[in-house]
Amino acid sequence: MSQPVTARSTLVERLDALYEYDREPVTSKDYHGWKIFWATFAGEHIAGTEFVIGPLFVMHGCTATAVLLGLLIGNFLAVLSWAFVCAPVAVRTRLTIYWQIRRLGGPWLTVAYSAVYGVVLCLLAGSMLRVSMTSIVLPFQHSFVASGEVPQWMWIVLALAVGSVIALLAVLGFEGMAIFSKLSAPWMVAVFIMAAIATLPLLGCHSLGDFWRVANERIWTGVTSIDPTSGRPFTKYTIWHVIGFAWLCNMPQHFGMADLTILRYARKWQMGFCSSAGMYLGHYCAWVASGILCAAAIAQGIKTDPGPIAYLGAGLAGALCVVVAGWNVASPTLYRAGLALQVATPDWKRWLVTLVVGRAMINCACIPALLAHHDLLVTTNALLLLPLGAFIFIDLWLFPRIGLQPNYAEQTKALISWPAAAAWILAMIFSLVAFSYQASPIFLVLPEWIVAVVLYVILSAVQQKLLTPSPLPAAANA
Amino acid sequence: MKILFKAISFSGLVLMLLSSVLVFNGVMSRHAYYILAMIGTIAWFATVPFWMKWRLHHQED
Repeated sequence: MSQPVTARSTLVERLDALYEYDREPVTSKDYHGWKIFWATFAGEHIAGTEFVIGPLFVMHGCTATAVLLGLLIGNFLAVLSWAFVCAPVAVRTRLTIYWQIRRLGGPWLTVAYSAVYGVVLCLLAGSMLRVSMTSIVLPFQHSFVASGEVPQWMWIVLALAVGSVIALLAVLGFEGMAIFSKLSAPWMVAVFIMAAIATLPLLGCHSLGDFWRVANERIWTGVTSIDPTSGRPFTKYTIWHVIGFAWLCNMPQHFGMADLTILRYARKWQMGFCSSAGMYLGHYCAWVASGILCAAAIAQGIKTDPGPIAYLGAGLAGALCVVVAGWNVASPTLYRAGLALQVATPDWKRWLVTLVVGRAMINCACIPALLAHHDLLVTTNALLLLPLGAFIFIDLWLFPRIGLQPNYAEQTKALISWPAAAAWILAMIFSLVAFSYQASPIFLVLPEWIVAVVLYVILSAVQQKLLTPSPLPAAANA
Repeated sequence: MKILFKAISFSGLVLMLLSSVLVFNGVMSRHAYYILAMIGTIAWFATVPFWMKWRLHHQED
């Protein structure tokens, strides 16, 4: 089954070789129980971005009810998506998303998916690097910059220095970084919680009875802040924005099916509910905590970047938490981006691709708007990758019921499934047009999913019923 | 020995959380809290590698 990668190997052969060891479905001896999934989800969803997203709700003028209730509902929807959309597919197929897309869309579609995913990961790694830099810059801010405003050249120098270390770590020791990431997860939860508790008195909250008043009057006041990059107020967010954002934040993982890679090891589909650990520790507690830190920073006249707010909340431990949270994600993300983009390079070694991707990450980290508009980055990520997850879902559950052939590209040995490619592109064009008419990208996710599914079903029916003269053997349905 | 390391790790986290509650109640200064938070951090990272196990093979792709 293994194919040697030679200088003459094709793009598709190189891509297949990268994922060679995940080609077969997971066997029952490798299934995991509940404990490993609780821990995995809890560890994966506490990262540097939590220091960015919590403050965004404050700056976008959310009310306390919108945040506290909206996050409760939005995260619940995300848990349901993992449990009822992603996990059942994972335990049914036991394959990674890569091989699932390969079966339904053909090798060229997986190349396109890998390239898009690689670019998205590059931007996310750049964002993580920027988060770390906001903490590392603190000593320089106090020592060398009289105005307290760090000049752009200093950000560039820091991005080069810190980014080079992260890129080197991604090349040398991805596994070590991944282990360190898991070891630090419980500590990061503790830092978020303690920073929020210790910061509340700075906002005038001295007892539990004060909390609701302070939450409404001092934290989530409903007043929008000024966007530092454009000088205009941020868009006003309502409870619907909060619900939508909490749900779509991990859309590529659940509706987009990227977590097939993890959940294919689950003994039962019900283990998808373990995602609640990540959602309610990381995307509820940590977002609420960082929102409190942001409000305290505004009250104290401190910048609302992750580094300064964490330092205010927990001193050196808080600043360290920002660095760790950023690096923990940046390094493996960079590794995965390198892996995804390796296919598009002419037989380059993995280390060379990772270093080139590292350079792109450094460039991205120099963009000041990356943190202020992190919500847009997350939403775009969801919109780009969502349709392919929708195709996997429909291919598995709907196609056999309406007389269409699942995994049609695999059965016909096609290089690309044109219905999947066309539906993916047209669904994204639909979102782009809607966005150009001022539609909030947060509310485009569900419409895009519906458009992608409808187009994929219609185009597949045209392909299989009208354009294919002879039916495939029934055994191919298996 | 593993139990001892585990106890030190969790004591570090408890120390961090407890000190923040004391700041909330106005019993402790922020400066003392910052120092205790750092001590708790050191306690966690110095001992956690000796007892925490992680299986990673399914997350590397």
